[in-house]
This record gives sequence, C-alpha cells and structure tokens, in this order.
Amino acid sequence: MVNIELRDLDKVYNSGKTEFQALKNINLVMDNGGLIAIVGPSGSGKSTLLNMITGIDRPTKGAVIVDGKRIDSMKEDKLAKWRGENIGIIFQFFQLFPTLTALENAMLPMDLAKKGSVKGRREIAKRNLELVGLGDKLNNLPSELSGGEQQRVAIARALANDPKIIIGDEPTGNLDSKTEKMMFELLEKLNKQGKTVIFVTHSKELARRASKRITILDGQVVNT
Amino acid sequence: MVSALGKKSFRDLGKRKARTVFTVLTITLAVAALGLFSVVPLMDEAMEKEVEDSNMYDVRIWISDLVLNDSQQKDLNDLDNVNAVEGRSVFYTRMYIGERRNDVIIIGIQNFSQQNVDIVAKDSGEAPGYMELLADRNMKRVNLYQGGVGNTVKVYDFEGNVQGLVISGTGHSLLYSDYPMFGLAVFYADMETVHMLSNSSGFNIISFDLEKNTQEDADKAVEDIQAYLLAHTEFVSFTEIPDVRLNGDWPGEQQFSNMSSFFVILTLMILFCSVFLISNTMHTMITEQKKEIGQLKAVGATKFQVLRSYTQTVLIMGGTGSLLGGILGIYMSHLMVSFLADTFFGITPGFGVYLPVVFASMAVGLGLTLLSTFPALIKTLRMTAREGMENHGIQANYGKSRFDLALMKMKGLPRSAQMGLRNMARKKGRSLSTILQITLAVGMFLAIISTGLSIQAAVSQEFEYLTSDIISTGSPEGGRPLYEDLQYVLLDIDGIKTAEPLVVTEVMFKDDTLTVFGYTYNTVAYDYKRTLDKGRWYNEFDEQSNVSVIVLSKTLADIHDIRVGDNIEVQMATGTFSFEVIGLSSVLMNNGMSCFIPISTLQNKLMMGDEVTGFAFVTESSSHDAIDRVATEIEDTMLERGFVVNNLILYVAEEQNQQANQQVMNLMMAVGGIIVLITMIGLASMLTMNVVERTKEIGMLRCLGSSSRSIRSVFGTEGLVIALFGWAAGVPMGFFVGMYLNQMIYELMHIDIAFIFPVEYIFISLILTIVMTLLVIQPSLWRATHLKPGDALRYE
Repeated sequence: MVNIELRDLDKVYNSGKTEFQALKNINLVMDNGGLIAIVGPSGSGKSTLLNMITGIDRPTKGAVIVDGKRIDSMKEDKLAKWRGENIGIIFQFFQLFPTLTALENAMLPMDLAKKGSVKGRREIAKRNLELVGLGDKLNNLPSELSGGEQQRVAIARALANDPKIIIGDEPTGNLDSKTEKMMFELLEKLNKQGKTVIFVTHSKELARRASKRITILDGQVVNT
Repeated sequence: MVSALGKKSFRDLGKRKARTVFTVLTITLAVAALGLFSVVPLMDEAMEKEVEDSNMYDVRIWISDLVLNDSQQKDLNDLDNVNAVEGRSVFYTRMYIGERRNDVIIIGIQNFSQQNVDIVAKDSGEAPGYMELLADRNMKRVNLYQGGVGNTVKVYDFEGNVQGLVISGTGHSLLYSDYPMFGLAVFYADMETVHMLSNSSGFNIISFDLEKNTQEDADKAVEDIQAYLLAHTEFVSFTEIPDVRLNGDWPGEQQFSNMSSFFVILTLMILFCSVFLISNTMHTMITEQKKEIGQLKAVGATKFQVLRSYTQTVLIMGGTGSLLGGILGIYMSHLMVSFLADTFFGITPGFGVYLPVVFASMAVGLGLTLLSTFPALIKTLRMTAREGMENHGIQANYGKSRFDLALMKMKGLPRSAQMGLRNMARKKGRSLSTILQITLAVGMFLAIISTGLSIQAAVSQEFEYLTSDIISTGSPEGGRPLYEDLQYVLLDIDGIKTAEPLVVTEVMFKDDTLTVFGYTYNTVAYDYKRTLDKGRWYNEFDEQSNVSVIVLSKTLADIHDIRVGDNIEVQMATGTFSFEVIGLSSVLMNNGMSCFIPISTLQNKLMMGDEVTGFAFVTESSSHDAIDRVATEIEDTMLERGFVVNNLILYVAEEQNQQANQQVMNLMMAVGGIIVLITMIGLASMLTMNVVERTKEIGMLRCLGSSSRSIRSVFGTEGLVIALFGWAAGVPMGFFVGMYLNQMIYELMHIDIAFIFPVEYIFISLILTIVMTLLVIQPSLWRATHLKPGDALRYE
C-alpha cells in the first residue's frame, strides 16, 4: 500500500496581473490504496490536486509526502526520475508522441528509466499492449489509431515501469461510453492487482464505482 | 478605438517573444548586410573629397632635372586649359631605420605655404627649412618609422654619404599615402635640401591642374606643355610617360575597382542568403499560426480580416527589422569604408551615409518580408477551420514517406536520439529550408576559402618564376644612373653566382599602363620557359639587331584579342613604337599588365645608351641570411662608387605580398562570416520554434521520467543531424561556387588562376559546423530543460 499525504497545502497561480488560489489549506491522507475518485465542479482544483501528487506542479506552501519522501522539495531531474519509476499518468487527451509507434510509446518510460534490456522492455510493453487489447497494433503510429485505441496505448504506457500509483486526469473524458466502460474496468482490474488508482472525473457513475471519493470545492476538500 | 483583431496584431508580438526577437533580428541582419552595397560609392565619395582637398594633379610629367624660372612657370600656368602648376624635385634613396636600411622618397616643395597642386598638408610641427624634413604620418600607422619632431633621419645623398636631417613636423599627401604600406618611407623637404641631396638644381616632376580634364583635353595639354618646354627650355624628352588623371580617378582606384567588383559579388551572395533566410523565417512563422488561424475562422473571421491582422504583425516586424537594419547597415558600411581607407590609403574618411542604398535596403527588407509571408499566408487561409484547429505540429502524412519509414527503422540508438532524428521529418519543409541555409553557409565558406587560397597559390607560383634572389635598382628620381659594365664589378662580390643587367620601365598600350621587363635573351633571372604559353622568347639575334619584338602577357592578349604575329603600338616616354608580338606569357606580375622586350631594344628606344635601371642577382646560397648579407654588400659596393641602389630581396617581397593577400583574405573571411552568422541564426530560430511548438511534449517527457539530459538529447540530435545534412550538401556547393568565383575573377580581371579546392578545409568546415551548431542551439536547449512540467503541459 502507498501512503500519500498532503499537508497544509496551498497553491497559487500567478498569471500576469492576476493571482489565483487553486488550492487552500489542503490536508489529506490516502494510505489505504484503493480506487479513489476526485470530484468537483470545473475549476475547483481537481487537476491541481493531482499535479501536486505527481509533482508536475509544486505547492506554494505546504508539503507533499509520498511513501515517506518529500517530493515537493526534490530537484527537477530527481523528481522526474522518481515520477517515472513510481507513477503512471493517463491524461484526458492521451498525449502520445506522434513519431513513436504504439509499442515505442509503451516502452518510453522504461527507456527513460533505463530499466532492463531493450529486448526486455519490448516484451513488457508488448504484454501491456496485449493487456489493453492492442496486441495487433504494435507498429501503428498514433495517427493510425482511434481515440479509444490511443487512450489504451496511454494506459499501457502508464503501466510500463509497474508503478505503485496510477493517476488519471479525466482518463475517459474523451471517449465514447462503450470505450469509457472498457477503460474503467481496466482501471478496476489494476486496482485489484494492488495499485493505487486516483482519478479525476466528471462522471457521477464512475465516481460511484470508486472505493473512496474526495470532493473539492473552490480549492478546498469538503468531503472524503 | 482599435478592434480586437487589430490589438491581436500587436499582442502577437509579445506572445512569442523568442520568435519575434529572432524574426526581427534576422531581418535586421539581412538589411544591414545589404547596406554593404554603400561601401563602393562611399569610398568613391571619401576619395573624391581627398582629391579635391589636396587639389590632386590632372597631368603629371617627369623630366630630367629641368630648371624653370618664375617667368617660365608663369608661362606654363598661362597655357590653355591650365589652372595651376607645381614643380617638384623628388629624390629616391636609402635611409637608416635603426640599424637597417630602407627605401625612402623625399619630395622637395618650393613653398610649403603656397602649394598649387598635390598639396602636402602639415599635421603638426613646423614646415621644414634647410636640412629639415616633414615626416609622412602614414609611416607611423603601418609601423614603418616611428620617429617624430626633433629626431634625426640619416639618409644617403647622391654620392653615398650619410646626411642627417632633423624632423620638423608631420604631414600627409594623398598622392603618397599608400607608399608606406609598401615599405617606402616618405618625407617632404624644401627644394634646396633635395637639390643638395640629389645634386640637382631643377624639377624632375611637374604637376598640372587643368580646367577640363577629359582624355582629349589632357592629351592636348600634354602636347602644349611639351611644345612649350621644347621651345623655351633645355627640355629634351619626358623620362616617363605623362600621367593623366581623369575625373573620378584617384590613386589605387583601378585596383580598388577590381577588388570591389569581387566584393560586390560577395555582397550579392549575402543578399541571396538574406532573401532565403527572411523567406524561410516568415514562412515558418505563418505555418506555426495554422491553429490560431483555424480558431479565428471558427469564430467568424473572413480571409481578408485574417490576412489584414497578420499583415499588420508582419509589417511591424518587417518595419522594425528594416529600420534597425538600415541603421546597423550605415554603421557597418562606415566601419568597412574606414577599414579600407585606412588600410590601403592611410586616410580617415568622415562619417558618410549613402542614402539610396540605405533606403533601398530598407525597402527590400520590408518588401521581402511581406512578399515572403504572402504565399504561406494565402495557403494557410485556404484550409478549413477544422484543419487549422487540428494542427498538431506535425504533417498529417507523417510516417507514410520512405524517408519517414527509413528513419523509423533505424535501430541501436538511445530512444531520445531516435526521437530527435524522427522529429526532423515532422515538418519537412522547415527542416529542409534549415538544411539549405546551412548548405549555403558551408558552401559560401568553402567557396571563399578556395578562392582566396587559389589567389595565394597563384601569387606564390608567380614568385617561383622570378628566379633571381636580389634585384638592385638605381634611383628612379634623382641620383646617378647605373650602366651595364657595373655587373662585372658586382660579380666579384662573394656569394653572387650571376649578375645581369635589367631595364624596367612603364609604357602605355591603348589605355593600359604596362610594366615592361627588359631581360637579356638568355636571362636566368626569370623562368620564361615555364611561363611561355604561345610563340617564342626573343633570341640572341633579336637582341643584337635591336629588333622591335615583344612577348606579351596572355591577360593583355585576351583583353585586346591579340595573337602571335600581330603588330601593336606601344607608347614610351620617347615616343610611340610598333612591336611584333612573338610570344604570349602567362605572367601574372602587375595583375597581368606586363610584357617583355629585349634589353637592348629598350635601351635603344628610350635613348639610354648603355644605361640600365638595375641588376638581377642569383646568389650562391639560398639561405635568407646569406641573401641578406649579399644584399648589404651590393649596396655598400655601389655606395663606395657613388651609386645609391635599392635592393628588392625576393623572399622578403614574397612574404610581404602574402601578408597583403592575407588582409584581402581577412576581408573575404569577414564577409563570409556575415553569411555564416545569418544562416546560423536561421538554425537557432528553427530549433527555438521546434522547442516552443513541442512544449507540451517536453512536459510529457518530464511526466514520464525524462532527465534534462534526455531532453537535450532529443533536440540536440535534431539540430546536429540537420546541420550535418547541411554540411554534406554544402561541400559540393562550395566546390561549384568556388569554380564560379574563379571564373568571375577571370571575366573581371582577365587573370587565369588554377582552381584549388582544399580538402583539409572540408574537415575544418565540418568541425566548425558542429561547434557552431552546438553553440547556437544552447539557448533553445536551456529553454527546453528549464521548463516546469506543469507550465509546459498548460502551454498554448
């Protein structure tokens, strides 16, 4: 089980003349694993909260501790390495690299972490792609895949380094309902395998299926 | 009240600061480079002003120690078309600079405060009195002689005695401004001093300022002057062909004109690179805007409205770049003119602006910017809103072409390097135009180097044909004339292998001034066998019978379409004579304006008797020390006999010539450097745009665990590979452009130079390409590695 703690967290964005406080005095502990949904209206700070956990953004004040490590104070290169080894991220708009094939996209985190041999990485990536039902599309470029297929590649990529935490920022937001159902079942499966899955969603139905719900409103956690 | 679309035109400039800066910088440099076209007219202006200030001669004659009283000088002044007359006595001798001897020319002036023609201006101190000298300021500039007011100058007089003269001040004269650069010291004195030194009593040069100085008027004036002198003085003949300076001519103008023709070609190459670069930059900028243009169309903007908005942005950038470029161009031209005027003529020109070029370059810069934007803008406007908004910074058909597939098949590289390599093919047009820019840079660099080296090699080879080690000449102005039998005295000097008499003079052929070399038929001082191209050299019979034969340079033969067997008219100091062309030589001395006539024929035509202008020596040892020692002994031996000679030591002359050529090479390298700089900015601009365009991807790489090193590897690989492709294409381009420049030299100056393409510079250019690429991409790489992942993912 992974222990994630956000302690006295504030996040303020400065944009030219304006200042916007995205998160206010967040105190949150997630130590039981599970399938955790983060819900709230648009602009409430859901994605920002995820970015704090992944280290993509750094808090203006407070601490982010994951498995005993203070990630908010890590140097960028070290943080990137830690992130690649410990977290798999799935974005709403897939964010695949257009010049890499499905197999190469799925191998990329292992390449960056220099994990194992090239042959070994290829095997793991192939297995992950088969797991998401894309065993026959290994050599296709993203431009040759549908939206649902691209998202599945993104999931396979997120699994590359066998991370303890899977983070999804509206991972099904850009999918049709059938594909959305398929994606979520996959995430449930990964959770049952022992991974902590934290995802942001607007879908009430998906939020209902989560083992834990965190509600954010105006940058504050109002309900867990 | 400005509309939102209007405001967008301005705000777009601040949204992509790096792009705006690079674009404006590109246009600025391109326009500034065009400003170099001002150099030739500004140089002309500066020299014309100098000519006017010094009231430079229109006609100059050389006579042998002719005494003219005031009345006769007044009569000459009263001749038709003559405005002013200035008689001078000039003595050419040797002086001491430290412990070594150096050639010196001392110009005797009648009245310093009332000079009429070829005015010598005093810069400091006092005008010289008896046994005093005014030092030319250019000697200090070229580090020839550093003495100042109060110092004593030791010079040899006509008898070979050393005389001490005190420097009373410094001055300068346009006529003699370039002499110190060629190693000849220049001083000005009063007439009495020069007469004492040279044992003369009259003038040996008279300069005339004419009211009208067309060729016809000048020729008429020379006739009138000659007629007057013949009728009223002891004048017999001119000792040199009268020198006529037409309007617009100034000393060294012909050489500068030849060099500037070449310079114009180099500037045209810069223009070509600039056009290419501006076009590429604007095209890239517009293509990058596809998504925004799609969005504008989606919210209801018409094509015309979009066109107007972006045109305004382009106008602002083009206008700013052109204005800055115009100003920078003025400054760069001034620097170039100052450098050329100071280096070659020892003058400091005032700050000049040649407005036609300034305005034209700014107009071209702005016009080009607009013109190069329109094709891309119109093409982009034709796409639908959806197509524009779906623009992902990659061509839609990526992965389909053979090139894409070949790149995807490359194995064995780290993933980040693979990504960098494949990124090259994402925007093929942009990558290709950047490759072409680097191709231009490498090609121009190699072409310029090969041309410079070809010229240097030709000059070096020319010195190989001069097989003597020392050439001693008597004073052209003043002093005792040398005679043939002196060679037997000189042969006794230890270390001399051969000594032969020599006559060198200048003649006119059509409008060209030629240097004539009068060698003996069996000369060992010049390797005529290697340079003879057609026909034959003159033989013993030709020499003994004083036949009027001539071996002409191939350059002259090509210019005037002369063949072996033709007869030509040559104008000498003593008249015009007909010569049969018996041979053509590939001699390049004096830029090919040379010819050879048997020594006896020359002596006969010039009424010299057994006089010669000098001797050519071959020494027993070729070591420099031995040659120096022999040269000193020749001088001392001649001084003992009352002859002042000037020694031209060939190995020294060759080194000085190479130094002078090196300055020209440096100038060419400077121009080449501008081309390289302009094109390297294109590379930096391309990479920066790539980083900006792929900001989100960089964020993603960070999310997936990429280190700074991996990110650098992605973009660095792309930049380096593009540069290497550009280098590979630039090498053959450099070869062909170099050949073209060689041909241009022949067309412009009729000098046939063997083309050299230096292989070692191919590797030097590779190293330079890699080093410069690594340097210019650093800012882009720094930006890429310092992006925060969250900011990068949110970037629009």
